[in-house]
Amino acid sequence: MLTLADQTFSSRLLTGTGKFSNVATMRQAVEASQSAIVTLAMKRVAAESQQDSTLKALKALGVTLLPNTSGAKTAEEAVFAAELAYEAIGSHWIKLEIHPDQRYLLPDPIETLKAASMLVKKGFKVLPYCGADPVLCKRLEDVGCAAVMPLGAPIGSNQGLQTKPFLEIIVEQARIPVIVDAGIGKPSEAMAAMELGVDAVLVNTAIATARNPVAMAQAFASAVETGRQAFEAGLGATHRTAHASSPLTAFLESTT
Amino acid sequence: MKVANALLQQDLSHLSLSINSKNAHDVEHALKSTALTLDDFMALISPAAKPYLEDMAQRAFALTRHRFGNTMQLFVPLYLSNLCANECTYCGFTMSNKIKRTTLSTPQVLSEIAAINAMGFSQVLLVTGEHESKVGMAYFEKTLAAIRDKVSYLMMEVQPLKQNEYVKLKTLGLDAVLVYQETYCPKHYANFHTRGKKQDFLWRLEASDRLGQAGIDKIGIGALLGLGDWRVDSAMTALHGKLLQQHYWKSRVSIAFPRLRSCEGNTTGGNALMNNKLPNERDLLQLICAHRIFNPYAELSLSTRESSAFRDGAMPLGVTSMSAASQTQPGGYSEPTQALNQFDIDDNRPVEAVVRAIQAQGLEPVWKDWMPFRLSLT
Amino acid sequence: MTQIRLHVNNQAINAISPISIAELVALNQLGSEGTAIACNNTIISKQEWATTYLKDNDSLDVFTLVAGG
Repeated sequence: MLTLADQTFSSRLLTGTGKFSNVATMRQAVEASQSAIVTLAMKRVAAESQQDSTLKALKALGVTLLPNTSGAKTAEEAVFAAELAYEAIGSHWIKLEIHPDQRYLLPDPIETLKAASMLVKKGFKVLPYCGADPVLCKRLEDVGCAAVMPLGAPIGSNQGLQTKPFLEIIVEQARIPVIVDAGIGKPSEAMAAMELGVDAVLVNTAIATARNPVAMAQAFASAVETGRQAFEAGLGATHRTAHASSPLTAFLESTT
Repeated sequence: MKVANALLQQDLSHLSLSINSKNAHDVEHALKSTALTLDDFMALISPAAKPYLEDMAQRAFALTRHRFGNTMQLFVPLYLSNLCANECTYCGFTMSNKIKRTTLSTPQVLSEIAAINAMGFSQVLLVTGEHESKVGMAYFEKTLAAIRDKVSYLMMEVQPLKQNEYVKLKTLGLDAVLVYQETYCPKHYANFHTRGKKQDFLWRLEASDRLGQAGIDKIGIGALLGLGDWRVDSAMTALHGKLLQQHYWKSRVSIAFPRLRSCEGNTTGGNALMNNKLPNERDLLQLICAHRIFNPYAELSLSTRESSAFRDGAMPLGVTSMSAASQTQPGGYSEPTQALNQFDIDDNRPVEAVVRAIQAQGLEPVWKDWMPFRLSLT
Repeated sequence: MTQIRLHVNNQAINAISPISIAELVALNQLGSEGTAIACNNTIISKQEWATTYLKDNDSLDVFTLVAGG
C-alpha cells in the first residue's frame, strides 16, 4: 500500500496517460497496470471540438486523477494551472511540473520550490517533479509537499536510473514518499528503483510506446510489486569490509 | 515536536526483548548491510555481537577514516557554575550536596579562557549546573559576548532552553548544544531526578526539536550509561540521532556515551556496577563501533571519564572528538581545586600527553576546525 | 441586443449580448465535465458561470483535462 497525504493506494505504479495511440488502448493499459493513480494534463480546447474521451474512460476505471501543470514555465503559471485543474475536477491532487526548457523538459528547481510553497498554502496536495537533488527534495519536503518525484533520467528518454546514487540519498533522508518520475524505460529499471526503497514509480512513455502497451503495463505492474517485495524482505548487501592486518581490539586485553 | 513524539512512541520493553533475542545471523546481516536499520543497530549492541567485536572495529575504523579522515577534534569543557536547582542522585552538583557553590564572574571566565587558550584549546564546551534564576539567559548572554572572539567553536551543556533563547544565543555565536536525556525510560528518569525542573522528562526530550528548529549547527545527544538498561538507552540514542538527521537536516548530530562514574555523595555508580547495569570497556567499545556503523555521519565524542588506555585504543575506532586535561570544577584551569568536581575523571594526563597519544595512532589533532563567518561580529 | 466580439482560446467569435458563460458553453458545446474556464485570466468557478455575463472583447480560455504524463 502506498500512502500519500494520509490516503492509501493499492498500487505503487503510477501511470501517465500520454502518448498512447488511442483512448481504448490507454484504458486497457491503465487497467492492466493496476495503477490507482494516473496523470493527466490541462489543455486549451478548441471551440466546438469533440470532448476528449480520456477523462470519461478514466473516471469509469475509478482511478485517482492526478492532473499535472505541464506547459507552465513559471511558478505563477503552475499555480494557475493547478487552480484550473481543481476547478475542472474538484480535486486538490496536483503533479507540479515546471519546465521552461523545451528540449529536455528538465524541471526548474527554483520555480518549482516557489510554486510548491504557494500551492501547499492554498491547500493542494503537491507532488513535484524535480531533479534528483537531495537538498532540493528536503526543501520541497520542508514547504509541505505530499511526496517528491525526482527524475531517473530526462523525461521520455528511457535511459533508466541514471541518478541512482542521488536517489539513494533522497530515499535515506526523506520523510515523505519518494516517487521516481521520468526516465524509466524497462520493467527491470522500475524494479531496481523499488529495490532501493523508493515508494513508487511513475511510468508513461515506456508503456505507451511499447509494441504491446497492455502487456507492457502488466510487466511493469509485476516488476514494481517484485521490487517492493525485495526491498521489504531486506536485501543482503555485498561485503565491503576490508580487514586491516593487525587486530584493532587487542588493547582491551591490557585494560580489562 | 516531531522527533520527541517519534521517540515517545517506542516501546522500551519491546526494544529490550528485541535486543536480547538477536542471534549471530542478525549480527552478520547487520555487518554486511550498507544501510542499517535500527534492528541492525540492536543486533550490533546485543550480547550476540560480542564475538564479532574485531569485525565491528575494522568496519568502524574504515568508515570513520573514510568520512572524517585521519583527524581528531580536541575540545575542553569549561565549568562556569556548579549551582544547581535539581536533585539528581548520580551527580556531584545535586542540590542537597554540601559543596562549595560558585558561579564564575566575567573576569573569572576570562582568566579560565586565557588558561584554556594557553593549553592550545579554542573549541570550548561551556558547562553549568541547572539553575535558571541565577545561571540563566542573562548570564549566558553576558558570558558568550565576553568570550566569543577567543573561541573558534562554542558549545554549551546547560539546562534545556526555549527555542527563542537558542535563536538568541545563536546570534551571539553559539555553535553547538548538548542536551543528554540521561535515560530514555520515563520510569528510571523519575527515580533519578527527584527534585527540580529537570524532573520534566518531556521538556528535556523536546529540547533537540527546539534546537533543530532554532537552526543550531550541532546537536549533542546521549544517555548516561548505567542509569537504565544501557542497551535500550543506546538504541534510543541511535534512533534519536537518525530522527534528528531526518528532521533537521541542516544540523549535525553528535553522540556521546558517558558511563556513570562515582562523584561526591553519590552511590548510584557503585550500585549500577553491582547490578551489572554498567557496560564494561569491552561493551563500551562494541557500542562505539555500533554507533559508527549505524550512522557513518554522526560525530562521536569520548570524554576523560574513560581511562587513558581505553581512550588511546578506542580513539581510531569511530571517535571524532575528545576532550583532554579536563577540569570539572568551576575555576579549575586558572586556580585548581577550588570547588568540588561534577564527577571524577579518569584520563588525567596533561594535554601534551593526549596529543602525543593521538599522533601515535596516526591521527592529526585538530584544535581549530574553522573560523566562523559571523555577520553579527565586527 | 448588441453583437459583441469574444476571444475563445484565441479564436474570435461573435455573440449576442447579454450572454452568460453558461449559455456560451451550451451554445458551443464546450462541455462542463472536466472543464475549467478563465475569463481575462481569472478563473470563473462553475457556480458562477450562469451569473457571469460577457462583455465585448472579453477573452476566454477554456481548458479540459487530456491525456498526459
